[in-house]
Amino acid sequence: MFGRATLWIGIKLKMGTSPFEFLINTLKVALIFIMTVNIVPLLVWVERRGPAFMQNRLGPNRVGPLGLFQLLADAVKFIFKEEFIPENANRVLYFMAPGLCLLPAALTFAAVPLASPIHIGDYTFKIQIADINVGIVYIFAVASLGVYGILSAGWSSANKYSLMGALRASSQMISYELAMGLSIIGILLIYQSFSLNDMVLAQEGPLKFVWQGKEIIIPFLPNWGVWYQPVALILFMTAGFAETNRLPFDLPEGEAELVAGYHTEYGGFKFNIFFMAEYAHMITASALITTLFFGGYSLGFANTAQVTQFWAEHGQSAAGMLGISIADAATVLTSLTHLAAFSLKTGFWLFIYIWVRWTLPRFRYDQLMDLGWKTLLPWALANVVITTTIMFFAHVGN
Amino acid sequence: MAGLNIEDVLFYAFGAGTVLSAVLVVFFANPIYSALFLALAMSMLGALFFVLEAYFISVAQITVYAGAVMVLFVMVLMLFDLKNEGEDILKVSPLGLIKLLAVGLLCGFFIGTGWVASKIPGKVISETSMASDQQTAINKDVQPVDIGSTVSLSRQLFSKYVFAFEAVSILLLVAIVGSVALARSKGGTHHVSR
Repeated sequence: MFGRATLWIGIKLKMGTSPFEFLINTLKVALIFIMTVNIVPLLVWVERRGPAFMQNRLGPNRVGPLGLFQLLADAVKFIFKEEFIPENANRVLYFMAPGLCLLPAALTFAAVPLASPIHIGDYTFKIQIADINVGIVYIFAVASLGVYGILSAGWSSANKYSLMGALRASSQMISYELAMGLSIIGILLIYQSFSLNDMVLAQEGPLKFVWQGKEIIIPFLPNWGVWYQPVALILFMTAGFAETNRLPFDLPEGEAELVAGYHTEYGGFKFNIFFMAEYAHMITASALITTLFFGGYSLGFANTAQVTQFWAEHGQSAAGMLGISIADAATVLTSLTHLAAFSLKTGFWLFIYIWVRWTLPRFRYDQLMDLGWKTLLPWALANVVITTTIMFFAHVGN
Repeated sequence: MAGLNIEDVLFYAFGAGTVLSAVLVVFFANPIYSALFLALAMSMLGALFFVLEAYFISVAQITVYAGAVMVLFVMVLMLFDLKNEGEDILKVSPLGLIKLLAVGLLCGFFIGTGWVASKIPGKVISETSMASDQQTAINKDVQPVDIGSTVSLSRQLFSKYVFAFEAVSILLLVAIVGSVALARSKGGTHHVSR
């Protein structure tokens, strides 16, 4: 009776009838959140050691192997730092702001599919917190709420630099949200869906499309969105840098002018939470680039059925170890393979984010606004018009 | 299946949250708190739509109202840094009397609506627009369960309601052009020097 039930956030299920589903969903939410938060220290390490390597210096290398324990030392430092609150601060908003920042950043990740579903017996486990049919719009909606955290932080600190940083951040995020939303219209037209799962499934296998009634297959390329929408990738990535407030668009915290922007007055763990929020935004942005343009968790050439077939032939030992049937074990192994593929792709884009930070100089404020409104927006609109025209002619023969 | 239905629990929780934050919008003297609570009320309304499985309406609600309109409000309020309007509502003045009257009228309106609503049999509300729309749906493959999906929504928008849809878009265009014209006119925020 639970068979093939939609297992997600708990809204769909009746608590009284199936505590098991409720438990699994709660565990999933906790696990994926903890995973996201725990990638942050690792990214910080990459952010310090990586550029040190690029700039021919060493970076933190004293604590533990490769300086990895530096992260633990930093965490301890963040927790035990003296708590400082500015005298004229609005205490309620001052304490709430870091949470208001982290919450939307963490919530956006809920709609991203991480791997193909696992089937065990009658159950289907989706490796995703919430399979929403408007997943991509949900992510944009929740991400747009992140501005409140930054605004409250800037205003409640009672510091002019904080307020200036917050105003810069919010105007920047509002401006680039528009370009970001428009840039993916082409992708939505091609996949004809808002659901991130549908998009991943549409990108499986070799490059294949229908042109005027004829099916064209290019076997040496994967069926990724980037081949259909290269302009959209550039627009989306650029807007992504602005939305996450990263260099070259980190004007909200431009240290030469604004000390540290909206989190000038924050220290210790509260500052750490702002840091986590920024990295959570970065992780979601990378995961979205992967899902929209680079096939999500899919393996490029082989579709899910082929991978499952492969593991059904080679996965006997794993099935024996888990004590489940070979067909079930194959779905588990397929899911793990897909999770690895997804992590690799997302990791690559995270590295690009860090790489760009240490490569490009910061924009000036008027240059930033010009780029958003006068360059990205017209290009995004042109992309929509051109995509619709091509889509129209592609379907002429049908 | 008499167990506690989590949908109902969430619906009433978000409903109570919406009403509470909407009430707090009025009761806070500090305009920034009022604006923040209005944003919260909008988000809660979005969550209510989500529980009712109208996902697209829910996220559109959050993007447009909480994510765009209210952000601008909060931004402007923080920039001006308005002082608290610590004015007593019962201050003896004609204005206070008008305020009191307005509150009384509003309360009467609420109670009256509640009384009228209780006289209407419950079935009528559930059988209005939604059901009739389904029966006249142009595409027969649209399932009744599908009413919240973007496919059925866009089919309705671009077939049955296409005139209203286009009329609204023209209205919005006029509003945009009008606001730009007002901002650029003499005495506006920018001097036309070029």
